[in-house]
Amino acid sequence: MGDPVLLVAGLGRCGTSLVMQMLDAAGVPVAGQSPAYEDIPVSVRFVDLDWLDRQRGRAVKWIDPVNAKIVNPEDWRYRVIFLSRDAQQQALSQMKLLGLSGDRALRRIWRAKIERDRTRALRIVDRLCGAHGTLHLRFEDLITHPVSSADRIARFCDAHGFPFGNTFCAAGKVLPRHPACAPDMRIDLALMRCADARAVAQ
Amino acid sequence: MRVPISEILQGVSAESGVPLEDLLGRCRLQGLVRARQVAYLLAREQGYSLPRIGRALGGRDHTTVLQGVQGVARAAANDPELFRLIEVVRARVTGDTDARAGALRRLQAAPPEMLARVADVLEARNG
Repeated sequence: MGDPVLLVAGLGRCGTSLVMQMLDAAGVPVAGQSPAYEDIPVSVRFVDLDWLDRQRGRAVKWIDPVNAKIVNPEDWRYRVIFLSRDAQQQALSQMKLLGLSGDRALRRIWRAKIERDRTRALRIVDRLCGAHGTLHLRFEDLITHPVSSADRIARFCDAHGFPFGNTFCAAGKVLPRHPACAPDMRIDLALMRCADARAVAQ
Repeated sequence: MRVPISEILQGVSAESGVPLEDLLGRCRLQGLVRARQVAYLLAREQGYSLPRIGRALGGRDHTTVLQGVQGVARAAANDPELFRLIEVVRARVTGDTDARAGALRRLQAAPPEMLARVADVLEARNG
């Protein structure tokens, strides 16, 4: 049995790129190029298994697990970081990316699809590696508490054979939000500033 | 969420080879001015106000920024190199090009009623 593949999974616009950037910053080998990590051979329906075979020991972005199927041969091991986000916000973000914002009926359909797909995606991920091999993260926690989120990712990665470097480097990939949007983030930013100061002092 | 102007400046500097201090400086050599104007344009695309962009780029007047945005947009239409520079920096700072391509690809797998509604919205938008 070879090295596992670390899949960063979720539906579009829920922070998968951000987690890939955090892993990259912490020295975990990743597939694809920053900032989006989507220059990889994934069709609408399947992730290329031969290509995936060459990514053992790396983190791979896996958007839309419901449609982009991953085959699971017996001798394969996967670990998954699964991201979720408030469905309404996610629908708005996906529609904005595609230049489709503004239509309420479409937003309702879009949101319903996200909720449906997320339930199915969670079932797929559960079948793929079970509860012990999955880390569940919320996008909202990621952006408001970057340090503690990076710490959770670090502990998960370390436990599953993906050595994770500096947690603060990883957390630094989260861009500061205005306090009005994310009041709790001030605490995490203060922690990061302390870590920077310590690094400079050393 | 808006990309910070500092990141746009770093992106322009890295892709155009113009040092950051020259982007913020007063030198009016054509190559430097063009790179500066690319930064104006991308910052404007992110929704920053003209005075805000002017302040961030070395305290320039908002009319200078406006003229720069219009000038570089016109020039890019006839200059493939400049057009490519804008595209590359835009992709670098927003990361949206790959993400958008992926989102469009995934939209193919959407249920028919959703695709029909998307088509209606696009049709209404395009008149």
